[in-house]
Amino acid sequence: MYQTTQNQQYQQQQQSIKRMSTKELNYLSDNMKNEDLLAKLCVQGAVECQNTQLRNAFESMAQEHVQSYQQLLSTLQQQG
Amino acid sequence: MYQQPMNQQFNQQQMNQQQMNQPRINQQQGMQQPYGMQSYGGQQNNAMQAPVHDQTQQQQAKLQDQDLANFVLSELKRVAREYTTAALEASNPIIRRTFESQLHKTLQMQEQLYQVMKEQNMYGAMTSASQQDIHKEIQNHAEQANKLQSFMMQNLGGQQGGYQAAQSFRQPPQVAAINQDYGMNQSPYSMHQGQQQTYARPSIDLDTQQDRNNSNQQQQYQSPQHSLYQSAAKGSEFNTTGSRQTSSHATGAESDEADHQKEEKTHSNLSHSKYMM
Repeated sequence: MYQTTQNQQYQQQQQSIKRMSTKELNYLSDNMKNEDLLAKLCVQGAVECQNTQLRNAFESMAQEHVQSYQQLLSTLQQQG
Repeated sequence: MYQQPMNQQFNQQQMNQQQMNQPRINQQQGMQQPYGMQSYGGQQNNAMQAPVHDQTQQQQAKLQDQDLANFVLSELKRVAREYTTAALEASNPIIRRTFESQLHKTLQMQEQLYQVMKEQNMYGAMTSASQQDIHKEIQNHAEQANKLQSFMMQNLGGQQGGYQAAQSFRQPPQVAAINQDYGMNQSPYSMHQGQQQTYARPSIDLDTQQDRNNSNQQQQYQSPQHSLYQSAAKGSEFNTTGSRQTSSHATGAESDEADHQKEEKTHSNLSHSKYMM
């Protein structure tokens, strides 16, 4: 008896955690767009910049933005 | 330094590449952020002019680097703001955590890029605040802190925690020290920060000076502080307007911390009890 109510509660919580609000979805997709743009910009900077330090910074940043993108995407896949 | 003589052909190649690449970027930018286009578009015209001397070419190259770096920097700032909004408005704790960690990463990247730009003299030097202004702020806020303290005493005078916090506000030892060798310190910023910390975290003073071993008392101390903030926030006498912006206001810093602790607690509770998968 107690077990079943607990189970139900657990299921409800599971459902509520799975549910994603439209706001969250919008923010996720907006931020993924941002990361995409920034990654591309950083690649451009890494290719074009004549200043070595800047170029290195852009290179590492491009990688990080791709990672961020992937992380947001995986969050979307897990929570959606 | 990148100012070493460069192969002219290489430069020419770079120019061509840039001209080819730029429309693509502008297109992307156009969808995202119309005002960013202006700064970048202006630079495109520069690239069109055929450079005559090697020196001007190099200057232009530096300008282009600078424009691009500034552009990325402003994008990073914008993205950080967007992550903040997203984190603030997310209800699912896992999604919120994601946004928070992304925000942290973005902030770090922005700092990194800014440091590089500063090293390359691509970012204008900032002017440090005048000692007079700082002194004025310190006095002003020390007064404010005392007022806040008497407000606390009025509302929770009997409680131990309130009383102890009052003591640490009344006699902040670091502030006295700062006021004494005022003008001797070469870094006004760090001095200001020191001041801020003595006000923002009275509990640290307490811990180190009095009751390090007594964790029970510490807890007693923290909870009235929080409830005080809530009651204070409701009260109309509570004067936060204007001084919040200058960020050294004791209540501003304190309430943020208290709020954060609360958030942290609720979220860790959620993730432990309900949201474990």
